[in-house]
Formats: sequence, structure tokens, C-alpha cells
Amino acid sequence: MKILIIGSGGREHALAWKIAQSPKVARVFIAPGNAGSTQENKCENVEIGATNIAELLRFAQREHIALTIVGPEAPLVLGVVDAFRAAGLRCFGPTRAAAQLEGSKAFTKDFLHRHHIPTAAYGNFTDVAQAVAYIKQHGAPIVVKADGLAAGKGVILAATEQEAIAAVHDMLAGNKFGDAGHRVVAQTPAAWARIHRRRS
Amino acid sequence: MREVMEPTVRGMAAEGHPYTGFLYAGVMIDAHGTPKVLEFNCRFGDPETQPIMMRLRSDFVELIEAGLDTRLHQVTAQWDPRAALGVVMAAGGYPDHYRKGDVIHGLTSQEHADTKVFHAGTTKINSQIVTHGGRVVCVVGLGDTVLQAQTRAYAVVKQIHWDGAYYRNDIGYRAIARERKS
Repeated sequence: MKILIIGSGGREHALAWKIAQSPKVARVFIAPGNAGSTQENKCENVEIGATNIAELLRFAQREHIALTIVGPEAPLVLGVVDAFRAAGLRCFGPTRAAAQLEGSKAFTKDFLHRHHIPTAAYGNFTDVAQAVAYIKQHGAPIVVKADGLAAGKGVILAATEQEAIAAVHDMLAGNKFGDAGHRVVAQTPAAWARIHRRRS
Repeated sequence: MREVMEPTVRGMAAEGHPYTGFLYAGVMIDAHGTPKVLEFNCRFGDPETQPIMMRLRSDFVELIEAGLDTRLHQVTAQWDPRAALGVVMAAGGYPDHYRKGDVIHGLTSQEHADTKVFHAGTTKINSQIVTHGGRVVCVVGLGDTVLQAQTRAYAVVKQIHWDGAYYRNDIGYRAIARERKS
């Protein structure tokens, strides 16, 4: 069978390398891939960007791709799985609606609340003054996140109220993360040092 | 799994958006031992995927097909019992502004069973492999202990260089400290 892997990072190189080891697999295409993925046995890069869903779909149809695996979050949040499924193609990843678990931190916080899944105290804000008031009410340490996708960099672990307020200004007023930062989530971890360790 | 992942998957299905795919939860354990969700990733993490793929022994296509066909409960992933450790080498300046286009030297073409260099921000220009992103490569080592995996990974890291390359020297130090205690 022929496989298409969407993405260009180390993750996609590793996925391609592993997938190519399957005796079921004849060929692995990586769109767009990198200099490492194209060197692997059975593997070949395709010059299509990871979020160019229309072109990815055309390629998959033309090449009779049996299975598509999506690496990064951006095409998932844009609905690549929905588009492939609608065309009758098998694509592994969450639909656009399911990908909100990552694509919208506000959705996720509300979802967790609805289903009584434990999460830290939080507030969603689009207004600087309201966010600042929340931070002053809860104090530091506090986590400030950009609501949308910010390539894993939209999370500020603020040790002081000043740091948290500066982060809010950067995101809501300073446009630091573009659209991803037009809504922020502030939450109060009891043990923020733990999170820091997880991520370091 | 019982307190976070299973209720999440059930909740998404109940709301009409059944979840298929990789799902990662960033969880904090509070002072009372309760896991609290900080965030979800709806994809395989990067660079976690690289060491995880090194340890996976099952046919990955079969596992993914089982996921798509909602019969994951019928399959079990088989893992290499050894430890895997990955070291990311980054371009100077990352995660802020960084340079691209520096020629990468020392990428060994021969395959070792216990180490693997996974590329990330790399591209080929005029038959030379050059930097093309902030995280450039992830070198993974396998070992009977975390210390051995670390030693193997760093031995390869030290052979790879380009102008401005940098990396952490302490990956795995907590796991190695735990290993020494036990």
C-alpha cells in the first residue's frame, strides 16, 4: 500500500521511517518532508505544504494513497481529515471538530468543565482589563496561554503578577501571537514548577 | 487514563465528535495526587515521537488501521524494553530569530542499530544538507539503561556540527539520577 505523511519535522521523519518498515507498505510520501525523510528506504518527499489541503487531496487521489497520517496540528484544525473522509480516503487524525481539543483552549476548558474532568481554575479573556483583574484576584504563579495555535510557544509560566500582566499585554494588545493570541486563558496551577519541569 | 483520557474520549463521542488519532494530555498532579489537565495535543508530540518510534516493535500501519476501524481493543503494541533518549540540536538563536542555510557536517550515512538521527529543520541545497528550521535534528539513542541511551545519543551528537549549533547537555539527568538510586 501507499502511505502519505503530512508534515516536515522530526516527528514526520520518525513516522515515515517506522511506517516504511511495515511489510504492507510499498511507498511512503512525505509532504513536504525534510532532507532526512527523503533518504529513507521506500520514502520520497512531495513538494506540497502541510496546510495545502486541496493539493494534498489531489495528490492522494492521483497516487491512490491507501492511508494518510497527519503529523502537525495546523492541518487537523483546518479540517484535513474531514476533507479526506468526504472524498472517501482514509486519514488518521481527529476531525476539525475533535481537533478543537488542541485548537481552542477555551473550548477545552469548557469541555473539561462539562464532563467533570479535573483541570486548574481558569478564565478566558479577550479584554486586557478583565484579564488583569483576574490575575490580580488570583495572584502568581499563574499560567497565561494564547487561545489558538502558537507553535507550542504561546504558554507563559509567570512567577509574578507583573510577568503575567506583561504576557497578557503582549498577546491581547501587542499581537505577539497574531490571531492565536486574540483570546487568552489564565489559569492557576497549584504547582507550576511541576509543569515547568515537564516541558523543559 | 481512567481519570482523564477515557472520560475525554467518551465526552467527545457523546458530543458528536468521536476522537480518532493521537491524543496527548499535559497533566499536572496536584498536592492531593489528583491529575489536572493543563492542555491537550491532538497529534503526536515532537520530539517525543522520535524516541517512541525507536522503541515500537509492532507494525505501526496495523495499529493505525485498528484505530481507524475502532478495534484498538483487539491489538496490543509491542515495545522494545530498552530506554530511548532523544537530544534535539537547534540552530543558534532558536526559539527566537535563527539562521537558516548553514551546512550541516558529520551526518553519518551508515546505519547504527542503537542510534538514529531524525531530521527536522533540514533541506538539501546543491547536494549539501543545510539547516532550514530552529530544531534541526533529533539524535536518539537506545540503551539497556537511560545512561547508556544518553551516552550513545551524545556520542553521535558530538559528531554533528554546523555554525551556531547548540543543544542541552543534560537530557535525561533526572531519569539517570533515579536509576542510580534504585
